[in-house]
Amino acid sequence: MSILNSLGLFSSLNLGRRAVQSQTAGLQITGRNIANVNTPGYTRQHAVTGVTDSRADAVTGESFPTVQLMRDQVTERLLLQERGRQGSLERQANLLSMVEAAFNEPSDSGLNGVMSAFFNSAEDLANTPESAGARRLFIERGGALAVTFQSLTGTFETIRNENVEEARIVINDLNLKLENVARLNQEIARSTDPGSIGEIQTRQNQIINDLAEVISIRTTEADNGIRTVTVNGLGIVDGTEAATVSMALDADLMISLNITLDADTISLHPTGGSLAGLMEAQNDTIPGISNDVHSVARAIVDGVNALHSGFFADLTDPGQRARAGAFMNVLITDADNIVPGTSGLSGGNDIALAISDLRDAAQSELGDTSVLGYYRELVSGVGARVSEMNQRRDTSDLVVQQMEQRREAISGVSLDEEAANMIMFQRSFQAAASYINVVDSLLETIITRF
Amino acid sequence: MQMRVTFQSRAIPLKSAIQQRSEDLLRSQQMVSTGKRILKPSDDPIGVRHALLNRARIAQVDQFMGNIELGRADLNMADSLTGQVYDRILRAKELAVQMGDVIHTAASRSAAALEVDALIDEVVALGNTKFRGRHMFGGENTLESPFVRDGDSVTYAGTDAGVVRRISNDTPLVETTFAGTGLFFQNRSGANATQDGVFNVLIGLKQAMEGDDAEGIASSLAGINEEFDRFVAARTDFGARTERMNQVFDRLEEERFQILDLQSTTEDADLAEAITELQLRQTALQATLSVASNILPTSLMDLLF
Repeated sequence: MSILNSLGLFSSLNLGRRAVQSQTAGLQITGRNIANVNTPGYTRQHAVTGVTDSRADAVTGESFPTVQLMRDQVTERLLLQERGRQGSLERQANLLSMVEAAFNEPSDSGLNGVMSAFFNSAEDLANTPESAGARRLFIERGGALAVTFQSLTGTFETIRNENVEEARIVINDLNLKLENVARLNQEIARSTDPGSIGEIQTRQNQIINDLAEVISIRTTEADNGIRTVTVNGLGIVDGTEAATVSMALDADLMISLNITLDADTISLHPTGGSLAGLMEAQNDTIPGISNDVHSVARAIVDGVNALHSGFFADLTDPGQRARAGAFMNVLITDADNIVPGTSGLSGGNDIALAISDLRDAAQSELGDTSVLGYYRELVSGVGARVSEMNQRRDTSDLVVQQMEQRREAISGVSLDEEAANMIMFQRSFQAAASYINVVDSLLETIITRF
Repeated sequence: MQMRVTFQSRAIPLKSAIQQRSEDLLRSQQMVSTGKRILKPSDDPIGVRHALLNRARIAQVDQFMGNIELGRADLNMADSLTGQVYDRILRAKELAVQMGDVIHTAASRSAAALEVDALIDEVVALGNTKFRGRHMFGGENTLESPFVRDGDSVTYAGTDAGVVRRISNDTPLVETTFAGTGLFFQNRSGANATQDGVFNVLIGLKQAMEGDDAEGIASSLAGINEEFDRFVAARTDFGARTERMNQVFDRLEEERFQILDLQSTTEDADLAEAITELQLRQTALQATLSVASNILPTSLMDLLF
């Protein structure tokens, strides 16, 4: 007791020093928070001040404020998942709108108008079968029809080729990001200061958020702050090791993904993320729509050629039959070679009339609808898909936004709060400084008066 | 627990609201500037199906109406030509009645024979008339003169069936240019020489006149009357066809009007509504922007430091 009493004043001076240091540390945390007020994915740090008295130092060796990261892991996990869904829907909505725009409907230059014009030119041919003008018009309209089919199906091909390039770039970037996450895991493992771990994790969060938009991921975090990233349960960042994602293409430009980790290669099927959206459009949606357009082209080529042999290039090769729209081509260039009637006489027009009849004729290959009817349903179907996709994306945007707000409510930086904290630490610092001053004057009294 | 409101949680919804309002405004602008409600299929997937159907149907109806216009012109021409043939037969009948009378001399009969000869040439010319580049009475052989007179024989180079047009997709095809068969003659023989028709009746009359055969002239009257009736019947038939075409034309015109009306309601924007909406959306965007500029900078920082 007497020892403690005699050491009292020096101990008090020490207490003052710790108080000053403690408030400085708090102020530093506040400064860090303010500096990151606009950093996306930043997690607010909170200074938790322990009990500080004259004995604390002797007992625990520590009385500084500890840093607490203000996080809600459930919200963060849900947010990652929803970001994946959003990324997938966004990519699909974009690609589908491009497909939709390619149809150029409703307009006179879309296939609907061009097909009508072609059948009308067959009627004109039936009206004046002997006229070279009507024959030439029929050839030209047939050519315009072929070009429109070629350009529409060509646009689908271009979109799919671009998708392959995009996937390549996205996957390269994805691999860099996976490496970065793994490298930051190394830094976390080396670091001991909770504040700097928080900063590294903030950087890692940003990368993980970007990753989640590209590919559906889940993360788990060990007690030491090291994160594991998985896709469909397959680890793509395991501790300090990152897997390599690679793309495989088949002859029809269908994209599949593989991951390689520790020399093992496994195929990867992401359920969300822009890459999954791109693959869905590439492997399923666009080929489906494209095949429907090819079916319409095939029905026209087969139907017209059955009536007027050799008007369009015959689709004998199976590869060409499957992609009829791309191979549609008018063979006849000379108006004299148009035969409007079976009699071969100048006024014969039964063939021309029969070609015009194809407009409304139900075709078994088109599910007993006419070429125009089938096309109408196709365009309407594409419109419905785009509109549904846009709605789902908007909903997902809203969900992400709400979750981000929920995350913000816990992890976000409030300048008001930080301002209040700053004042608090400032005043506490001033108080601690005055305390040191007082203890110092007491010591001076003791030293000089004795 | 009370919800913490941070700078970001105020900024996030504002940013997306501004984006949303801008998108709405753009959509309104497009609607007002194009006057169209459907600019792409996703604007109204069901409506776009109607739009495509309406457009395809209008293209088809326009074509049918054009076909009918041409067909009517053909029929009018055919009617006028048969009318002129009818006049020639009438004149031949007058001459036959006149020359059948025993008081006429061989000289006056041979003079009349010359006139009948000219009538035959005229009927051949009428049968060979071209309208808009095609022979009206040659069947499918539209580019070659169907009738060739060689002395007292007329041969036919056409086919036995006429050329048809489609005037709508739910009525039968209508013949608008014709074969000589059944009108100018019934049967052919040898080198397609016409038998039992207007030419042979007129040639018989001419030969009787040349032979000063009063009895023969009188007996040719029955044949002349028969041809006369045939051309009258043909004109009645052309009239009936024209009438049928007129009816179909009127029906198509009505349908066209209805579809255009429907197309307008399907595709066109209600301008009054669109403009009102445009203004509302403009106001909404301005309100959001002013909220953003007024609220965002406010913070305790502004008051303390």
